[in-house]
Amino acid sequence: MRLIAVLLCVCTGLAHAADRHAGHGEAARAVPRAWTDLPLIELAAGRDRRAAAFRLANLDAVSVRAFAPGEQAPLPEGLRFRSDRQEWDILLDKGRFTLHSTGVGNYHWLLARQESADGVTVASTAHYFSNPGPAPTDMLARPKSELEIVPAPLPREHNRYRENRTYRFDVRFQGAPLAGVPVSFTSSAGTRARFVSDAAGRVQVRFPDDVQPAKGGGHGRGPTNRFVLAAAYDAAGRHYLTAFNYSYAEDAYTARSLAWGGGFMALGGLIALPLIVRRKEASRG
Amino acid sequence: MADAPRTGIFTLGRLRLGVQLVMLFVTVWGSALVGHYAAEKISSSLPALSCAYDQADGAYCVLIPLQHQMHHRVGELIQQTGQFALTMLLPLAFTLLAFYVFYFFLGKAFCGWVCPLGTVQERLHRLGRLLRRPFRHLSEDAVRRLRPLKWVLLLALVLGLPLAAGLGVTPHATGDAFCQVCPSRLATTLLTGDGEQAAIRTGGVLDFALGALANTLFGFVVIASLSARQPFCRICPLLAVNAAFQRLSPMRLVKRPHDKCGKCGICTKACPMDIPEIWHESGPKAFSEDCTLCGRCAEYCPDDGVIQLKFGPVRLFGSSRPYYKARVKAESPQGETRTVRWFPRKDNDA
Repeated sequence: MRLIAVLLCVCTGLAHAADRHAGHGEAARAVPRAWTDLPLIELAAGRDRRAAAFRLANLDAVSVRAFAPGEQAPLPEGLRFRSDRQEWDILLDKGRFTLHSTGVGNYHWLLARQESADGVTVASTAHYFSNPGPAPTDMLARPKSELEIVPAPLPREHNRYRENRTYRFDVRFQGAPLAGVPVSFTSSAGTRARFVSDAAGRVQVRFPDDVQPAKGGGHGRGPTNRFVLAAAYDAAGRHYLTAFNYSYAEDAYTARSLAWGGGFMALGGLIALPLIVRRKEASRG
Repeated sequence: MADAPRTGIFTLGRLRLGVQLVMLFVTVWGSALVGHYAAEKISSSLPALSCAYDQADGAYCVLIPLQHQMHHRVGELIQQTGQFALTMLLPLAFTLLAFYVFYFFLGKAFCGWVCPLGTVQERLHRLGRLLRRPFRHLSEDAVRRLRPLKWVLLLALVLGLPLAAGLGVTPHATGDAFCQVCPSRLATTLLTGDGEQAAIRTGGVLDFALGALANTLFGFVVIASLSARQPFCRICPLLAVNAAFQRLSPMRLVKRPHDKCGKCGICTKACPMDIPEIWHESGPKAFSEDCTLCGRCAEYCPDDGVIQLKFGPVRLFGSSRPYYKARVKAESPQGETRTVRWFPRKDNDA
């Protein structure tokens, strides 16, 4: 069984090493005007397969902490994806910074922190690089600040958050689920909503129908909005505020037609219809 | 399973059905078992049509990285550098190596035992039997005429058009040309309750044309499966990939010559791919490029040890007369069920 497990892991790993597909992850864009007072880490102009530029908004910090996924697969040492770092700090330059991919694992996490005697304010986001390597599962599970809003899960490769769909996020305080906490949703199009975490610290967030359609679109492209989810919590005399921002795309059915789809399926069925109809015997008697 | 049971509930066909249903779950809804992200999948080079457009799947089909690499690694690099280098093929080599690690153990049985689209077509054909739809088999001529089509689709849709898209010759939408028309994309996503893939893109002529072709093909396969066996498998480019490697796996079909074979032909009647070679040939020629290692020919061969499924020197299943007699009592070679009897009849009931 152990051998089979190792072989399976080798196969998965090798395949991912071979399949580095660029340009199909998160397609966030910088939003030029301020659309929220909440702390944000926003994608700025300038990104490629190995690096992405960001800017920090509504938060006073000197550095940003980056997190990369860690290897969890039970592989022999020589077959593991090797990364020189899993957590590191990046200094800000006039509120901007560049995240360089570790080359291992696709999703990376960014966190900016402002701390005072009264409390802690945190901004976080995720960024997708087209890398082989481990899944972000352990990276998301690792506690990265006192109060956190964590996607459960992030959109899978070749997918995005979408309008009109519901996604789960977990609210955690010091690594444990936090129940009954109000969570605000704000989109870059101005939509606001409010949710409350359940007993397991989960919030089910339905994304609004507010992405402006654009011509073109297609494979790996299309318009997106930014959103920020924020929660606040007081504990031990301190005030904690956390804000996770990311992007969501237009509805999966935008510029698609189920009617045409059903129509062509019916056409295919009609073409095959003679096959399933019994014919009278050609020869009688 | 070296010796086939004389009667009983443990037939090869039922074992295969059980494996198919388990693998249907794994390949369509398997993320519940293995994890959500690509890195957590069983493999992204599976020798079966497990679709990455299905957001709940447990593995990805090898045709996905093959297309991506032809598009993004080979085509785009040639376009950028203006030259070809063997190193551009390295990702393809890794993909094929990962594919081969799986393929070594099961060989073409991935088609007959694992592929979700194969299972869906077989279940639809079984439904067709229940609905008393006519049975359509392909003539030897038709089988031989259709056979090259899977190689054409492999070269054109899996390798050629993605390469052309990377070179900038054809539109980006052709970067995964086979996925755009693959019926497994529609079957598996619809099985998860996701209608997005069944909805045709209306933003451009090419997107619309590819969607129209895919949905028409899917509709044809669904309805045709009620009467004909495995209509899509006959032109599936993944069967072509598996056929290219079939001599490199110890898992194989073996047939020895037998005097009665010339007049019999039940094996071809039982074969879901209507393969004539299993009847007319013996030795390596009997293991046709179309074989999916389902084992029905061995189940329905009425003579002892003539057709066998083997893994290297190990016989996994071999034909036997008592097994054949028990099998045809329950189901004809063409799949017509005679009686639904899951447990053997007691002697005193006989």
